[in-house]
Amino acid sequence: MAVVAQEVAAIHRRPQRTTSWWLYAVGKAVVGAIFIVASLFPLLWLVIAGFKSKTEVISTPFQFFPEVWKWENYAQILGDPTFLLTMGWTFLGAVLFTVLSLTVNSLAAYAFARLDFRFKRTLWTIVITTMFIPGMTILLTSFIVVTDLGMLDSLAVLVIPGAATAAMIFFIRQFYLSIPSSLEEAAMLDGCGRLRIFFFLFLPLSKPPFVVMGITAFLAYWNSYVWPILTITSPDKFVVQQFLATFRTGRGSSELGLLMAGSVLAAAPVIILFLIFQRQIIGNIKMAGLK
Amino acid sequence: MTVTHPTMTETEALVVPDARNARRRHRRYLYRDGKIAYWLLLPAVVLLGIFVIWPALYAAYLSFHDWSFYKAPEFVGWRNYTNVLTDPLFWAAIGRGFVFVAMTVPPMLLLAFGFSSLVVAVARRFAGALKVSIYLPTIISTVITSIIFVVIYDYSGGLLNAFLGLFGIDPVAWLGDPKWALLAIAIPAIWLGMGLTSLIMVAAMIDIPTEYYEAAAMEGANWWQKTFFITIPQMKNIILYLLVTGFVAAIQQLDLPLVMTQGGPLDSTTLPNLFIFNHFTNDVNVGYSIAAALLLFVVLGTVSALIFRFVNSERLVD
Amino acid sequence: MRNSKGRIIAAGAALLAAGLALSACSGGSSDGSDANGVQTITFWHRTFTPPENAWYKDIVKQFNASQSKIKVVDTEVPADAWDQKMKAAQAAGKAPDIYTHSGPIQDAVNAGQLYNLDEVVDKSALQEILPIAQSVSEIGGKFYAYPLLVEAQTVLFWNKDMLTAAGLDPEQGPTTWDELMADCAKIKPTLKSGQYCISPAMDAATFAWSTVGQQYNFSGHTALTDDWTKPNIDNDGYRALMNEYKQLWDNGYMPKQALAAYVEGKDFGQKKVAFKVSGSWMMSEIGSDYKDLLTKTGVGAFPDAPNADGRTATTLGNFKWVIDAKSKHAKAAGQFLQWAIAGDPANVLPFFVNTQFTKIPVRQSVQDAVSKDEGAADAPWSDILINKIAPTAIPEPTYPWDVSLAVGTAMESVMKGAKSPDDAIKTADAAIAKVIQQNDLPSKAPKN
Repeated sequence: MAVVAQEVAAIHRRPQRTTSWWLYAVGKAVVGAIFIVASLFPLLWLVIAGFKSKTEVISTPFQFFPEVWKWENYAQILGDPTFLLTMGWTFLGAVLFTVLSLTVNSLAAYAFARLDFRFKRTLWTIVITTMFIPGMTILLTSFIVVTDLGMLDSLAVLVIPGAATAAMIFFIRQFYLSIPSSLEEAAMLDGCGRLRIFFFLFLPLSKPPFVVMGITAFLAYWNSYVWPILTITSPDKFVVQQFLATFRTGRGSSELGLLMAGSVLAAAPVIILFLIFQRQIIGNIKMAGLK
Repeated sequence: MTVTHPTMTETEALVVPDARNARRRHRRYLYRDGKIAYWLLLPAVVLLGIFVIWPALYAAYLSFHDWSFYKAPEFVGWRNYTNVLTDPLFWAAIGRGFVFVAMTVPPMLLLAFGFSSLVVAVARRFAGALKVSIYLPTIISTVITSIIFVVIYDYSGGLLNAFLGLFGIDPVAWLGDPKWALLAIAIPAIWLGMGLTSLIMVAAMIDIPTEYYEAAAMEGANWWQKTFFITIPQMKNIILYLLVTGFVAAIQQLDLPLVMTQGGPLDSTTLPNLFIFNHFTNDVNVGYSIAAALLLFVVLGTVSALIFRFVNSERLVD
Repeated sequence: MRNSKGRIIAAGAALLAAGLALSACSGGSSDGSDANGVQTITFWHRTFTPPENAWYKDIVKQFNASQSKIKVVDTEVPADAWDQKMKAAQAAGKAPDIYTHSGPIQDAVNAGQLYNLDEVVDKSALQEILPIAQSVSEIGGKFYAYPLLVEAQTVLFWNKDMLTAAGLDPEQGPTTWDELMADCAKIKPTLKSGQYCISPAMDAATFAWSTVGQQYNFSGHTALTDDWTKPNIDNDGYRALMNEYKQLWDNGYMPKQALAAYVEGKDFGQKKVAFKVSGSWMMSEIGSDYKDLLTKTGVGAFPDAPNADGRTATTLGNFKWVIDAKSKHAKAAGQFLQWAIAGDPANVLPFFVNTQFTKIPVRQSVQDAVSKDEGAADAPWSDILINKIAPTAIPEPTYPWDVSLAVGTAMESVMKGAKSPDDAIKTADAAIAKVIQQNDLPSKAPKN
């Protein structure tokens, strides 16, 4: 009895806090800190630089912190009507793009996941093939296509062409495939048709993939650069990255503090969005990885 | 239009032992959702068709022509392709692409692996902070990243040279010296790519059943052995996936050299896509750049397939 | 069931309608006049120095105010975005009606991109163009561009204070490369951290266009043989030129990463360098953005090679206005062009005055007006630029850009120690030979 009790106690005894345990713990903390610092440092640098005057961002001798914290930099950028217009315009486009993408791709994903129809395999192969066509191959000719369609220099050319993506269809389809068919069967017994099932069953369940894919789409739009520089020529229709790039070679080449502040403000909305939804995004990353 | 499912009574009534009828019924059952499906698919297929598939075909067509936009396209047969294949600058760009991949993908995978090993071994809160930090750079655009790093790399007033100066090292022209420029771009590329790679690896590592580790621990295996004989083989699929996607993404890098160095100095950062982009911008005729893009596609596809086959067959079956 | 599908159709139709509506919101389509008979033409001008940009905006305003039949909508486009924006616009068939153009027009004319000005600009205006600018505006007797100015592309500027601090004469810059090296040797010890002796061209593309004059200075010719059959860079002159830049690099007289672009004066204005190599236009940037340096800036011809024999070291660059071949408002564009730069000299006079008299007008009437301006007397460099440097300058090369770029790449390779002169020249020769062969250059060589 006593022997058994001793063994039981041994199993439950806490691990010894030996020196090697402490070294291990400290080591983990240090390595972890290095990762965190390496990831966040450039951003921290950007934010601090946003407070510097134009001669302090790149200066000899080098200064890490500004002499005077110029809040005016941020005020100046926020007071620039073109900047605000660009941010608003980009935000609108990003929302439209996200909604359009989610709609178009989820409908297709549902069809491929749950419906049976002729040519299903062929169509699926075609969709998957588009996933492997590199962007540069079609960049030039899709530019010609949108030109012929007269879409240049408008919100349409940024929102419509990229809305359907095989990757998103694939991702959402994976999710739909994992929804147990017993739910559908129950609905069908109640007399629901395929369409009803989609709207009233699948759609409400789609929150996880929609959050992940929605953020991805929003981010893709917000950060887009190459396609806009080809297709958007009027400065008042620029996307936010275009604005920054133009500012960088223009006034921002000497007004570096302003450029840094502008960059921070341009990144702010998506960072905030990420921080709000970080749990869902990070939690669902594995779905993006598994095939 | 209503969708009907054959009810039990209907099929009973149709009892005809005729094979053809049975097949027809089966097909009708198999394809019963046809109309709905096509409507649901319509927007996606139309969009993909107009903006992806058609441009791809059109590109193939144009690659055999010279077109200056001011005159009609002129058929030139294989000339664009031969021009590209005999252009040493094209091959140099491709080579540079591979070097860039070597500079970014393996380090990223190693760091991600290290990161994942750390994450699974620490407390939940710390792990959460780690995950958020490593993923945050992914949110930052390439333009903003370029702005940050150009300032850091500045020759006379930048952070990096100032830091090196503390150790008495002379300033290095990170973006001006052809020896260093490609590496200088590789760093922000790794910084941007770490988030997704790391988190995918973490997810995969968590999935490994702990029984394996416990069994190994009982046999007295140390960390290295556990890693080599359990972790890595279990993650084979994910590592392969990350390798291929990493390769594909890295070799197609355009934004960073476009904004940071415009391909210089001395073409040392002219990666394949930038090579194509520059040709499109500067050439009078558009056929060359399109042919180059298609050739790059061939290179991409071939190497991806090779990696897949090679790594797949090399691995021990667990 | 029915209304579910109906909802989808409605949604789809709404989306389509939204898409069409959005595309209709695109920048106004400007083909043909609007209801009042007003023609709108688009004008793109490249970003230049601040006073020039201001003049461009102003001249458009003035033109629009002076009449009511034509409205000019102008856009200032940054230099590094120019090529790609222009290419995209041309691909879309939406190139601007009228735009600024630098460099040779050969390629553009051959590709059919430029409108023949003889049809839309008065003959008398075209004939007023001085000989120095004729070769850049007309080909085969037909005019395709109207020049606004010519200017030296390679000029030496120096900070008089920094020269004095090193014990050198602030009024007299170095006239030969040997003198330049000696001066830098004296200046270097007096420099603070982050300062350098000289800021010259330092990348392939800049070398390509800005050193053609120096190539001529060192070797007596430019990159091709006269009949355009072979490259002509494998000789002592070119090697000597490359070695001079290598010396500047190796001795640490120049920064290893450009502190500012060649065409802008930021590094000079911030007193980071004692010498700056740039085009004569840089003076106007000093005048507008770094006024306190204006009287402390020395201007002189770029140093000569030891055996220069009085040859110039600079090319004469230019800026012209051209009309797009596909423009639907060529006549209106021609009127704007004529009014702005080919008509009353008073319209174009502020351009030359505000750029600190560093640019050379290409019409006699304008040259006279400029020299009569009272500000001219306060610009002693103007005399140097216009009367000493410009007269001997050579025009820009008319062979394709890729030839110049091959030479520029060779120069950068040698300077940075990436290749030996022999290897660099060999690479450049191969590249140039390819350009000659692919473009059939011998048939296009100038015959004189």
